Amino acid sequence: MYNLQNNFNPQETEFLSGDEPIKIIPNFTLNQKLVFLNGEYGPFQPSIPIEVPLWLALTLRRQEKCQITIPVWLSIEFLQDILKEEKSRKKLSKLHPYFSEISAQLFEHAPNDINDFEKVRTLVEDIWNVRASKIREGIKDITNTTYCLSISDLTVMERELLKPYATSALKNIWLIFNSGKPIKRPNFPNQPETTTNTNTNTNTIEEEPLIEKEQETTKRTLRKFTTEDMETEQN
Amino acid sequence: METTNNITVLSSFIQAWTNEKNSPEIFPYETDLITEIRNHINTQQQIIDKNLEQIKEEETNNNDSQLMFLTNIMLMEVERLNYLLRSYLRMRLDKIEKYPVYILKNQQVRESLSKEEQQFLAGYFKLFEKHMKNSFLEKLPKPLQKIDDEEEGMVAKPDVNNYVACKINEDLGEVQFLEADTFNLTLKKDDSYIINYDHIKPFIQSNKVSLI
Repeated sequence: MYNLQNNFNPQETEFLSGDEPIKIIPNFTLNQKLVFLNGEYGPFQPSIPIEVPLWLALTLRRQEKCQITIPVWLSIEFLQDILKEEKSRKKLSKLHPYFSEISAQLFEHAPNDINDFEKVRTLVEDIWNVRASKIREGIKDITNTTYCLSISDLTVMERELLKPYATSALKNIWLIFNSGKPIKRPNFPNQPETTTNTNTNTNTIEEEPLIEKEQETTKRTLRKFTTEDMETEQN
Repeated sequence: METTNNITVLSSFIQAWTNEKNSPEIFPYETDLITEIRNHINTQQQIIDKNLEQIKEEETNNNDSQLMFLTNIMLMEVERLNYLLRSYLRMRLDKIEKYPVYILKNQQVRESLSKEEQQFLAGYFKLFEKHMKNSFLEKLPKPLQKIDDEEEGMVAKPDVNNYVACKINEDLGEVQFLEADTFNLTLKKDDSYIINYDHIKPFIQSNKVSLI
């Protein structure tokens, strides 16, 4: 049942990232247009930049028929800003959704097109590590009453790595939570009230600064079953 | 414009593929998208075959290195589309194999399948029933021989309470979900959540929420 796993493995996310557009500078001539399902690309003239899907750019680069223009979000200045931002606050910064996949593929196939290749690679690794530790901290907040998890600023790779754990954990929490049924007691007078815990609680993986968080989480609500409720239920 | 239409074909199909991968249920078969993709693959494949023949005939001609180059690129694109199609179809077949009795009993779910998939289901269920009967069902006492008895729990149903990751496509405001107690969530555009599939099921059909 391999096909029924509900998350993408890294090869599949890499495949998906292949459709992202990227700018290249070809060094060959092709006078006809390439007709793909999602558009026409071409004609190709040497030294004239053109935008193509990533998979095509990498194929051309492997055959040394083009030079890849590194996207803005992979330049040293941008990465250094992002790293500073990640280290200074608890919330996850906004990255390109295919950040890890595209950077890994560019490192593998086009290292010469990147200025200061080693430095960029170290920065990417540092950013990944800082985010990974933030995500791990965020996971610790899952309690036995969590209903859902907010994952708005995760990249695709981080999300797919988190999914198996998070979905099965939340599912088990849901099962345990919903297995309890209200205790039915016979109709004695002066019956002590039974309480069931109900809790509305959304946890965010990305943590806001502490003060904001306390204002956002909703309070615990206790719902009390009385003997009148028993009677209406039995009816 | 043709190109804008084609951009949505690929991205809608990838969205359908992602939905299918993440949800425990079977979604309606995307006949239009798949026909368009197959048409494109067929036209490209014809051009590729023609080019390959031409290259074979003129083996020592140097001009054909560019033709080979072009053909290789077209081949790669066709391979990528084929992979998507195959993966999509295999996922659906696996789901059909997992819940045959449930689908047969449910008219609505059965209509989500394509004709070929329905034929596959009929054939698979016949084999399945025959195998069960021959292996051990015949030797059980008569009342225990049914394999489609819903009350006794013989029918495997897709578990709608699995948790899935989803993305909100439109501003939906504050939505109330019914649990043991109700809980409210403000659904804003571009937020993503891991949430119980049952809660967001009604939004997926209208494409207000998509699975990621």
